[in-house]
Amino acid sequence: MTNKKPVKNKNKKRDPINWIAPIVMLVIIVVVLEVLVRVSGINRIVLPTPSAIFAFTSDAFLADLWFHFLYNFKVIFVGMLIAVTLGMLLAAICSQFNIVVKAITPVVILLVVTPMITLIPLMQLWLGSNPNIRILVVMISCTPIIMLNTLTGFTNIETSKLELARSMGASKLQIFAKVIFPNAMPQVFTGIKLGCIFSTIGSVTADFVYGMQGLGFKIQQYTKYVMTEQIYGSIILIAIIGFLLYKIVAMIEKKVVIWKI
Amino acid sequence: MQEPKIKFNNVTKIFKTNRQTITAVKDVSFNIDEGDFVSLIGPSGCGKSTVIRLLDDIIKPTQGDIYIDGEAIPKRKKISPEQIKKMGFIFQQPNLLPWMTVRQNVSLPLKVFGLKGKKWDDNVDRLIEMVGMTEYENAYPTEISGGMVQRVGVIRAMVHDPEILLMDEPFGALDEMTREQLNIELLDIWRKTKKTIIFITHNVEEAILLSSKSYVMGTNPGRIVAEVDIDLPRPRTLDMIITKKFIEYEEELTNLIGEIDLSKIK
Amino acid sequence: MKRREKLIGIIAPIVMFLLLFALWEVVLKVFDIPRWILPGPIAIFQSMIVNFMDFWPHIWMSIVTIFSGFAIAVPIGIVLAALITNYKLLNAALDPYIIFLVVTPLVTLVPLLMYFLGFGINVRIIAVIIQSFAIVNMNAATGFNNVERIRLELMSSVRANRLQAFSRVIFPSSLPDVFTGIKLCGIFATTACVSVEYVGGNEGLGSQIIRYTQFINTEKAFACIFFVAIIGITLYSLISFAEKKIIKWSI
Repeated sequence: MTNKKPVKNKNKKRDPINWIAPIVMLVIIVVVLEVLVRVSGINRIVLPTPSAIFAFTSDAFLADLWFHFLYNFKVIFVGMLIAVTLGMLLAAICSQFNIVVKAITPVVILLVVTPMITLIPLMQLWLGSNPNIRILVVMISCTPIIMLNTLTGFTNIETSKLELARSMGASKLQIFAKVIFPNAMPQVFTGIKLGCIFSTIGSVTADFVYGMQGLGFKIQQYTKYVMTEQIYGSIILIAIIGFLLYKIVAMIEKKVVIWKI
Repeated sequence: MQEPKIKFNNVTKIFKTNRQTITAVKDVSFNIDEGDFVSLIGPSGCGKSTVIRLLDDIIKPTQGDIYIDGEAIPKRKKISPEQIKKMGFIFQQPNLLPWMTVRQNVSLPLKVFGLKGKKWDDNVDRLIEMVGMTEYENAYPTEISGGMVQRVGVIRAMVHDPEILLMDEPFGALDEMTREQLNIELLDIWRKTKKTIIFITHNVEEAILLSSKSYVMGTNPGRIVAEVDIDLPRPRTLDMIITKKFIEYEEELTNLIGEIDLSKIK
Repeated sequence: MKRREKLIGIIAPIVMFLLLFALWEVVLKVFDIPRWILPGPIAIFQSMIVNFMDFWPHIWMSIVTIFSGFAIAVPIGIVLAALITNYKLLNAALDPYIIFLVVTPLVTLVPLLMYFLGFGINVRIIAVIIQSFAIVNMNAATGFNNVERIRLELMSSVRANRLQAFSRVIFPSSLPDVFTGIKLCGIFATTACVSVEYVGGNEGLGSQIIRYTQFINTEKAFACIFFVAIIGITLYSLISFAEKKIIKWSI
């Protein structure tokens, strides 16, 4: 008996071009910028050469910038961990009762659509100057979107899958663990990725408003002393934090959501 | 007289939505004996899917009683684990969970029913081998073909050794050749295991080939219109399709269904 | 009854919000929270209405910033995505950098931008555009890329050129993804506007939130926050409404 089409082609994008091209691009941009800036004689206050940026920032990094870099990383990372746990837990509880879902979804949408950074000044008023408040800021910045996407993930399930579970007489807990939860994973991870973005924004905005610590604060300092190279460098460092976080989530996603190619 | 395996007693199911009230099935009664291979045929909307879903406790009847081995299915509570374990349901749409491998999908009922041990693991191996899927047991549903997905659906419903198989147009979405192949495989399985099978199809030829008795259902409201004994020798083979008796049965059943269709138009 | 369902869909959230506001007031009374820490919703709404003329120039400023930035960011993002996804090499080369753009809070760019361009509203609009176009780009690109198979088949069977294939097949099929991107763009634009207004100048609702907080005028600060919420939800609703109309059309 012949089996027709066996295993379909796993068209994974392992194409080497996917990491060669960006690196080549980077090299080209850096070289072109270096040449252009030198040749055009732009004031270093406006746009320094890439080599200058690298040099000055490395110095600053070894001096004290690494501390602020780690500070932001810690704040964002811890804030996100709590937010993911909280967001998913709340969504899990709310999704059990249809009435609750209908009632609470508009509220969550409102929280997503209203920038939580509007609360940053007030939070300082309420809670003082403890540097750990920024973890709270990160938390409120990204919990709504994570909760919203998780809620959507838990409630959008095909009837056929639920029928399957019922045909086996599965208990509510079994249905949740084996069907509803795995089914929601793609949506959940989209929410977490968006959460990364909101949390980076929240953390840096908090730096600007509260001062004292963090890469955002350092940028303000560097602006005062016209240390433009370090400004660009700090921005790149922030971008690196956000990028790393995003890629970590993407990596975990590939391991968990095995079935979506 | 032995107790029938399955008994429907004046079962009615009414669906109420915001917009309308639908009587899916009305006053359906029939008995099925142990080891029978029975088919339900009829035009779409005649309630055949509703009937087996009522039996498998996916939905509850509005009126009437359903008995399995003489024991009634509770009307309000969920069906008892003992009763549900006796049944395996095979769906029309390939219904494998995409995040589980073939093997994990097949083992799913065992996990849900809490059946552990070597005997059951061996069962999984045996069934996977029986449908020729041993090579692909660690593949995901998105990686295998339609016919394979359907085979996995069939053995999943059998892995916990149910006495009753409920099949809702399981081969409808497949091409002719694969379907014929699977029909023969199914007859083979039935011959060896002597399970009680209820098979839903809209394909008259398939119904005659497989079953010993065919219930023809009608619409508006969904109900049983006729009961036809298929008196063809067993084991059934594909070349029976062109025999005179087979064709006569085909005509009879097609006419019965046609009358229903015509009466709809009137 | 579709109409009844629609009605419930509108009334239920309103009831929910009324309940939440009532709960807020009750909590304040029960725990005896001083007004300068957390005012009640009634007081906030009052402040919004009574002092509206004071707020208005800033409300208007923020609205202009957000909507202009949004309106420019969306087409830029979509066009860029269309160009990039059509050329595989470009797609591969730029993909990680788009992520960088999405992920970097534009607040960091504001001091720099102010060197070049000063303090005016144009700077803020540019900042909003920079923050928001990338997310439209990312989602639109996902949408366009996922229609790959159909495109290849169409192009080979009908010999359609790139533009035809794109406008007739790829773009319409990817609309759901594109609209997700647009919704997110709206959210990002609102957020970007507030953060820019925190950092630069004394115009716009963001600046007022800081100002009122410094003077411990929590009622007015909250009033500004509520105005931002209203702007945000209005933008989101407009996009959702457009989405329903357009997608119904093109399917």
